[in-house]
Amino acid sequence: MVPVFNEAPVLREVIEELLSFYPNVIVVDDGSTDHSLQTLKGLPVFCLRHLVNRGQGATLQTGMTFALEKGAEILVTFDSDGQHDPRDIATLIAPLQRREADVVLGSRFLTKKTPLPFSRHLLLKGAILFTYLTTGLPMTDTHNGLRAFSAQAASKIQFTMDRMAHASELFELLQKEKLRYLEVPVTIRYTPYSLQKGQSPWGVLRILRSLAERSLLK
Amino acid sequence: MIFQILVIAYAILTLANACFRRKRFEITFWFFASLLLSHLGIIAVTLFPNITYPIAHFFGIGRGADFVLYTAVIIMLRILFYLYSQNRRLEQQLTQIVRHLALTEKDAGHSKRS
Repeated sequence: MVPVFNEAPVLREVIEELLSFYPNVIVVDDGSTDHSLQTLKGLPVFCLRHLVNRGQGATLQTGMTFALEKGAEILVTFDSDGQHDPRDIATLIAPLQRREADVVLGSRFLTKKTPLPFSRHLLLKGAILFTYLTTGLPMTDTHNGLRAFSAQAASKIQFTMDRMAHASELFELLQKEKLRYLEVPVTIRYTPYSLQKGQSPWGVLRILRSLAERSLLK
Repeated sequence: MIFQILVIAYAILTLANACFRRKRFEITFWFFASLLLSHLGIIAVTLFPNITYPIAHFFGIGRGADFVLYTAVIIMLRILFYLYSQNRRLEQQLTQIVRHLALTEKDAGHSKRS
């Protein structure tokens, strides 16, 4: 399942690579204005489209609902900017197939293969510390888009945080629904394009604001 | 004196606008009533500032103006909080509509073509 927002320059290449490993790909376009979906013309993928931009959390929830309706047994979320390697999906779903976990999360910090820019390193470590302080979960990577869910786990997860704060909400849901989770090493391919599309410090502030609002308005 | 005139003029204009909108059923009765009461209060306090003194004194605040200011801040924060929660609720409803449309779009459930 690939959430998309304005990824026209790289989307076709990403999806073609993914299709060469896995035939069932769901692309959810979150109100892109660059006609991202049109670049997929002719590819055998399920395409869904949000009429207006609702954020990554909302997009993932739409994709998960659709996948469950289609009878998916395992759901994998995969970023659309080319930073993930489809070869990692096998590692990700193996614990689910062995029924050792309900949710498997990719972690770039469990492998030495990922050369990380310093600013990004700092930002991600801050997010890890924040997650530890707010949930007590000792995660090693909190904002990695490569994740796998069993159908049972996916049916219990309902993201209410529409935008990037869904990543933090996921950890609360893991605890609330008592889901078994594991982290496995995955590589991240940092390209100038993916770095440009990644979270900025302002994005982090927006996440914190969303979480604070939700806590206050619960 | 100028400040008092400006405040009273503002309150009267707001009340006139509220009456006009209420007449055309653009605002609810309760919203109209709260506007009426709050702006009549503003006019009364502006014309007779001393009327706030006994209330301020009762709450242990020295000056009537301070009492008005503290009350206004509390009311404003409450309104801000209410508007945030309303906005969040509307955002969630919008997401549900957008999701429903995405899932029920003609091709979504049936085709594997983009």
